[in-house]
Amino acid sequence: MKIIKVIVAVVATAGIMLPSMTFAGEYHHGTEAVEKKLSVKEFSPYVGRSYPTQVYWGDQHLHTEISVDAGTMCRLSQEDAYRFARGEEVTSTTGVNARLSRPLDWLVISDHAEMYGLMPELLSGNPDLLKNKVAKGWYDALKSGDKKKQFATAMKIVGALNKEDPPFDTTKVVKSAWKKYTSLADKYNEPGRFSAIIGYEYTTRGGYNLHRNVLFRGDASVANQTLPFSQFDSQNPEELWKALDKFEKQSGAEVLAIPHNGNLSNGLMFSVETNDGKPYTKEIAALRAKMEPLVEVTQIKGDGESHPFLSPNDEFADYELWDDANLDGTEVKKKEMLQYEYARSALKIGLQMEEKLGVNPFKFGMAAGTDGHTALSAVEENNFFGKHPGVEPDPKRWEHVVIKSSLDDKLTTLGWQQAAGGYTGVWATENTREAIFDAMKRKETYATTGSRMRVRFFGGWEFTEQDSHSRTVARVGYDKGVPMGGDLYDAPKGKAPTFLVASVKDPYSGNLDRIQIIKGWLDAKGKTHEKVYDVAWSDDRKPGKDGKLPAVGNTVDVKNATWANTIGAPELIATWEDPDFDPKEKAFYYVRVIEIPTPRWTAYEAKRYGVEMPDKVSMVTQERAYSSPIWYNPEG
Amino acid sequence: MDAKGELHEKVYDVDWSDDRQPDANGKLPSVGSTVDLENATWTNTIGAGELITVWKDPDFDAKESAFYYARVIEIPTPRWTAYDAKRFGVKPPAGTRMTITERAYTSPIWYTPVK
Repeated sequence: MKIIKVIVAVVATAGIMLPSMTFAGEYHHGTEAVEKKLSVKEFSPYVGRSYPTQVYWGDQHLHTEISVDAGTMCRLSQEDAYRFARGEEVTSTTGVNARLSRPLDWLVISDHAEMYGLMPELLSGNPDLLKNKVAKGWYDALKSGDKKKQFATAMKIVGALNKEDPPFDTTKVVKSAWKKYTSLADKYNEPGRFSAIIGYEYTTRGGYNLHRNVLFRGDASVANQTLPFSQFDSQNPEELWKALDKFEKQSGAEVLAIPHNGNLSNGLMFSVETNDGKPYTKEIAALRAKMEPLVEVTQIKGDGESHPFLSPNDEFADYELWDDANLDGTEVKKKEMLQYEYARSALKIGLQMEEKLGVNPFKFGMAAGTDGHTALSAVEENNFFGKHPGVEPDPKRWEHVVIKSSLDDKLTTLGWQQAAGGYTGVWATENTREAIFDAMKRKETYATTGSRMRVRFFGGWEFTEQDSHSRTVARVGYDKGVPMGGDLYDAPKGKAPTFLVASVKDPYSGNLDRIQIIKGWLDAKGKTHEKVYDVAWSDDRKPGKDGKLPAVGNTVDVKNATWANTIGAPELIATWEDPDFDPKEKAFYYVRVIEIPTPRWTAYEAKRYGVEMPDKVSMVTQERAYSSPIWYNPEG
Repeated sequence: MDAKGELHEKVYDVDWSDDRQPDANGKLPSVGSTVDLENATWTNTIGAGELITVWKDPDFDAKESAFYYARVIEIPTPRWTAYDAKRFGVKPPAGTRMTITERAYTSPIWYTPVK
């Protein structure tokens, strides 16, 4: 019935608006031309469209009570985490009601592999566990009601994550909790609406943050063929890659790993040496490239795209830095470590490694996550639920301890230092585990600091100015080039790569300041370089004499925690050709989209609770997105 | 509806793009057009990405029944006839409208005085 009505309405409208025009009449003279055109070209611009048309938002890094560290404080379950991510209202551990502005499209609950599921079992007094002396000691202390004792024990339990061996045998608990989890994931997985991608965190060398999230493409029947690979199996990430590779070959399943924020690894995450301190071999490089297509470039514990020490000419390279020490504040950071921590630098080093080995171990795309230990993937500036229950919304949380350093109080990180971020946008053909996993494998992803701007990025040899006038950017993009995460090869003679880039703002967040393309390359002498190009910007600004675009301005009213979109642009689109191209040099290009200044979560908090924070606490942020790179590979 | 049972209507511009000023008659100047008919394309260099405002009825009479609905108007874009003309390489007859300003009409909100 409905359909018939609609058709009648359309005909009636056309009749009213164009009484004199009929297809048989006025267009008759053009019949031949029309037939010719129709025979070679579809009419609808959307016919045969097989490329991804939607970006799916998610968090590949979230912990619940099942994680042994979170479990000492967090009382929210994996089921709570799914319900929250799907847009339902839940109550946090500290009793605050929580809801997302918009549901997420997918989620990886990545609880720690080590002692997986131990805490809920222990706290419920599982008699099997309590037979063990250590477990009984933990249980008694946690149930004692003595807050000091509880905290000390919680820290001890968290510390057990760093040990080479488990404090006691937890195999039985892990097996049962893993099965429960995979079955829960299957229950909450709803193709087309919400993808509950199965995964866990391999938490090796806690203090140096060499952690990885492992993701499965398949369902419980696949994931149940293995158990989470933990640092008790091996502290060497290369052993994780080998185990995953073996699992893939044996089961026919597909898995991938996502290394965490490198900024707290003190020079280890993108080291050019293997775990044993030897030079990378081609085999290890190939295995890493295969197993780790993405890197978590931004999250609550700081941003890892670039650093002012590495990129002194990049005025945006100082975003939410955590650069004093390693993760647990037991080793002060030295400047020379930075190059092996930040994504841009790692992408550059990757080109050098490829030159040497024939394989680029750091050929990764961009992902982001929260790393929340609250079961709440909530990182919008006005809806930030913090790193763990100790820093959930509270008038004083800005000065609460996030991570305590045993070395020096100055290395202890405090609440206000938390970055409210991030999410991963995935260009997938549909919202299913398989389609999202496949998009991650081909690196058709981008990371954001929590905002949900749409970002398209294509590279090819034939993009023209006219292409940026298209309202169907993706159509021309896929037609003439490769999307983010792709490769260009062997420049045609006399050609430089051209790029089509577009972004639309998040309607809940600020307008866009600018789109930049960041290029990294390797010269004939084996030296790497980088350059940041402004390619599209708002408000008719003109670059200064130094080629730098002036800042966009600032409308933030800190006191009221608000801003106006009277500056910036709701969308930006441009075609750009590399003006400094050398066809013999390996290179990569990625996009950084920057929003206008908006209130940082601390500003919302100061207003909401009526508290004053010291000057060192920044109150304004510029949210951003980082796309996966497109690589240029010269012949040979 | 006024006290005599007569019906009236009035259109108010409440929010607009590009810093335009209403003229002496209170009318907002038109937004302009960027439509490139030959290529059936346009640019978003005029208009706004979003508009938001609070409006208070300046002519309100508490005793009069009234309704209010919103009409949102886009900047000019190519009408389907322009796309067809380009795609099929044909010339539509003179007088055929080639641009359009797409729009939205909300359901009204009614004001009903208490009798």
